[in-house]
Amino acid sequence: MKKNIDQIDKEYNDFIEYSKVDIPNDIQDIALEKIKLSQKNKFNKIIKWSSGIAAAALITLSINIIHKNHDYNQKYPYSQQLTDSQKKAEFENALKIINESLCDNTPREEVAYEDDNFKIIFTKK
Amino acid sequence: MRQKKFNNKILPLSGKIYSYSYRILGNKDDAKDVVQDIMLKLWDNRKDLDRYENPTGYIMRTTRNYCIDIIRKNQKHRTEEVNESHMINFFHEDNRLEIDESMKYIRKIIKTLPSVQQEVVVLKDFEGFTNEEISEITSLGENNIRVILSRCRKHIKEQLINKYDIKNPL
Repeated sequence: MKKNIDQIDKEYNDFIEYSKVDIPNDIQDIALEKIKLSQKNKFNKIIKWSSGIAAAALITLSINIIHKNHDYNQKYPYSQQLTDSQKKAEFENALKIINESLCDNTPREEVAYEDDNFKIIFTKK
Repeated sequence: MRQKKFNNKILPLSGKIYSYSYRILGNKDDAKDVVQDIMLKLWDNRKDLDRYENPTGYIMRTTRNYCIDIIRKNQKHRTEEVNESHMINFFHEDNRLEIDESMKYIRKIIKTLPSVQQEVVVLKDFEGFTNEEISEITSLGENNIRVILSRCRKHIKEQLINKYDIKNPL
């Protein structure tokens, strides 16, 4: 087959044209979609982290409050919370009050113990 | 780089990224994945893009390296080190029926060129990149690119002249 030089150039250009890749029309949208999805995922991650930190802070705060309340209520029930040395001191104090009541010449009443069902009163005449 | 500038300057390069990665990988779905991954990478590093007056070369270089990584992963069973350019096959088999004999012959000529020359010809004649951009993509000097292009075009022309037995072509 005989051809001239112009035909050869044309063939090369035709081949270039033929070899061009068909680019999908929505290729930019596909790329943009991926970026948006990634941003959304990052945002969700931040929300999850923030929620986690907030939850941890809330738990810490709750534990602190419970701990403080526990300290506040530590004396109750009375008999269970006192140590042996404290009980001894209380008992000695009670004896001291009784002794003072007995030694004091002024007539008066001294309540040694009282609860809903029971009351002990020393009366000095 | 702000989102508006990114959308105006970088996003339109999606087509070029697709075309180039399709030439390297020979698969449309893989090329789409590359576009998405590269665009996401560029978006995450958009601050760095401000350094480039014309970021096309840098972006295509990133695309090329990413595609080569994909080929490497697919060929991981191979133990021998292969030159990057040798890993790329720019002319995959296509199933289009309308290709005529002369086109097949031109393709055959280009495929016989050394891989670096094939890449330069494809980037310049088929993808329309400037010599400066090709230099950034391939790490070859611009003068070297000019020489390669001139030799390749001459070689292709000579082969065709011989095939068609053209006397006194000039």
